[in-house]
Amino acid sequence: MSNTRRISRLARILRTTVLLMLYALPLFVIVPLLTYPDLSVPIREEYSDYNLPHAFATWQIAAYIAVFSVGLAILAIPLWHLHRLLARYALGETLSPACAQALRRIGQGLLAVAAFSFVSNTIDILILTALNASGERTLSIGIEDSDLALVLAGTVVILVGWVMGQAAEMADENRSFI
Amino acid sequence: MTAPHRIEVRLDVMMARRKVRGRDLAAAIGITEQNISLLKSGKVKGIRFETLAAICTYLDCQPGDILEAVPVD
Repeated sequence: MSNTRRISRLARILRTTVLLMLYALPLFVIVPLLTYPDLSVPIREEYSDYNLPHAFATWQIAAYIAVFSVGLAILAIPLWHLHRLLARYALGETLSPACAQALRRIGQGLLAVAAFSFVSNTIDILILTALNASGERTLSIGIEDSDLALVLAGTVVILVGWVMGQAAEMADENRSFI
Repeated sequence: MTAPHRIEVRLDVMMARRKVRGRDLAAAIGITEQNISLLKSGKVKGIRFETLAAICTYLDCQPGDILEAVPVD
């Protein structure tokens, strides 16, 4: 099997997988809403290290879900660009400016996911402890290993996108040679 | 310092001398007729040595018979 056909075949499989992931993203919000009669249970489990109140106000749960949904929406950006890139690969288009741009967008999207992940944890804790008594509210700032890995991955993908841009220019020039 | 030059393609002249049609040359050297037309009109950035050698073999000529450096006006 030639390399081009192999790329095309694998890209088709991955494109379908990424598309399914994109469609499945809203389920990360819908399923817990339908599964848990009281959403405070999974929230308490996730933030068991913090001094959370005995009961959350409705607006706190709603705000928590809103922050979580924004995170999913941001995650959809690199996934969408990945889907577009794989669609081009599936058609046999590999060395093109559009593919290089898609790679850069994926990298930027990963950086956005990392940035939001860093901020969202702080916002979540702030929301969930907002109704605590004065002095018991928490402002938590911390970077997780996964955030750093995302920053590294995003930066590398942007770099590869720039390199692919140069490769696309060279391929274009090569095509004008007979 | 000499004036800058550009490369002009004289493939059409050589083909006329050898009485060779574009279709025959394209088939002989394994490129498309469209590319032969582009080459004849000089609307290409470059020509590979491999292509040049194949053209020279088929037309029994030298690269200098096909390409000419002319001063830029």
